Amino acid sequence: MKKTILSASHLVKAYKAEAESFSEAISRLLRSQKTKSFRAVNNISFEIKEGEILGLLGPNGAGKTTTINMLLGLLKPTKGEIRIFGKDFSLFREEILEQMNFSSAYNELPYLLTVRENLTIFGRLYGVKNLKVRVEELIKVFELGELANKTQGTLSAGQKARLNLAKAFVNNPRLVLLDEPTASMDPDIADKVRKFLLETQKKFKTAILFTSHNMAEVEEVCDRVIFINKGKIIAEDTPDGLAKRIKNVKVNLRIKDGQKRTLSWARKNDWRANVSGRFVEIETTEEEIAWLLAGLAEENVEYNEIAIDKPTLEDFFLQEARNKSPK
Amino acid sequence: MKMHRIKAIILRHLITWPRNLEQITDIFWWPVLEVLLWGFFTLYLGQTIGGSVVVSYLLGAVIFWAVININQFQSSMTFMREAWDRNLLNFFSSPLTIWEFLIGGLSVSLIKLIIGVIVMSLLSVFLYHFNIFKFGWYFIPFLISLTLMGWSVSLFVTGLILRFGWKVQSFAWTILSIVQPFSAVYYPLNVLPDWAQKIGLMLPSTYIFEGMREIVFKGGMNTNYLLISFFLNVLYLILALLFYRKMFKVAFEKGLLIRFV
Repeated sequence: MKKTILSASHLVKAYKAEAESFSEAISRLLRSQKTKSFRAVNNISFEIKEGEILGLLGPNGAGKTTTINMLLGLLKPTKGEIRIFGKDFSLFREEILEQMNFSSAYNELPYLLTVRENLTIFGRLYGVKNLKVRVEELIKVFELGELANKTQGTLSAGQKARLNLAKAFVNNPRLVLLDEPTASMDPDIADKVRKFLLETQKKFKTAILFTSHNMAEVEEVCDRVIFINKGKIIAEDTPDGLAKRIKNVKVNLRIKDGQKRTLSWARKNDWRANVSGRFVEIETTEEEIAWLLAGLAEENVEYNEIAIDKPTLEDFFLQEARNKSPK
Repeated sequence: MKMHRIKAIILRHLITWPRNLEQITDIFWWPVLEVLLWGFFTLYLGQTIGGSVVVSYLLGAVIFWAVININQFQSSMTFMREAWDRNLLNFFSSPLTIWEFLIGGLSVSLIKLIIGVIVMSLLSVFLYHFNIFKFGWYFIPFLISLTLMGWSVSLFVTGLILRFGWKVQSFAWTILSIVQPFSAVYYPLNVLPDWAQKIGLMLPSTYIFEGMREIVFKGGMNTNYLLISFFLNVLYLILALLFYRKMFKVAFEKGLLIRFV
């Protein structure tokens, strides 16, 4: 059985809404008004096993960044417990963080340090042995050779993201938190990065917490996904398992004759239909596809192309983000 | 506390220092300008009212004030630069502790202080034949006392910026100008009005500058000045450290570090 690398139990982060002005603060005080509070993270629990890549998904403002910041020790949870490598994070912060690392596409590194110097400084912070060798390895893996002596401030967004990722692996961490690591990378580099992550996972059994808005990437990389919204966990499954929770498939037809009859058949059966030029897209369940096609035949609808799109993780994301509020 | 992490912080700042014109200016431009300005002014005073005492008195004050200034400003800047570089999250999501970060920053300010004082002293010797070491062994406790005061102010400023964000960042370069008139840097304490003297008496720097003037005019100083200055420094440093720790605690509770991204 695989070891549990990270376990978060009943995590809560509540914020008190601060007064917007000094006069508001005074007036609240005089009226003994209670400060309103809201929960950015509301009682979530999850685990990451050794060598597992766990996706943390959710719309903007769902609580992903707050969760990551708590796991990094940048934010103290209001309630709950975080155990990493079997130890209480609040008591063994330094020891734990020596074996962890973090990268976000939106994070900056010191802009006057070169790529090589940045990796060296962070390597020293993490107490990396054979640092020179490790830095050169990372420069090679992340194709930073030509940029090694350039300062961070002169790099493009994609190059900065690569440097950030290289920094996240400088200490050969047992657990890495990656917040949209491939955002702003070109598809070729992003593909190489995903391959690197999968190789690292296999070779070193590195556990990775991964957030991304690229659902295809999450499906490719993650073993398991947690979907959070409004601070609560809505669903937890494999990417495939989450996609299968969507019952509807999309049937795309290129209609040769009978577009109105097609739409009327869809309406009769309460299926959602969208028209785009000669194409009609009908949302139905997998079981009802045969009934749909039989109906169209009966209505003498002629079509010369048909495509059936199975639900994806993206469909699940859209459904959860748009329609459902947390239970 | 791990030395390799403190060294990493020192290295980070020493590498970038020569690459930033603004940082070079902070160490050399203002102190050199002060020495030149006050130096020529004292030469003029020397010619009109006579005596080299004025030179010792004013140039000594300039150099000793620069000690507080460089220490306060440069150690505050080690925090500000990480905030401006949006690097605080990277540092504090690493095993680095707030104390290692602090010691690294203070060490950087000491290195810059040594360089700044050497430049100012050499300039004073060459241009005005004034040697700062004429204060004898007192030079060392003066330096230590003013350094401690600079650090206390810096810790206080860092805590304020951490808690209230960018809107109070200008304290980093203005706070000492509020303290300076009460410190009796260029004039004796007794020229200040009563209420201002009371404030002056609470500042460790006042005792150093009063002592410095005694050495210039009488050739020796009341060592009680040093003792009081050190006592106040220790007191303020303890309070400043508690404040710094408390502000980081609040920052981790409220997620204030995240706003520097």
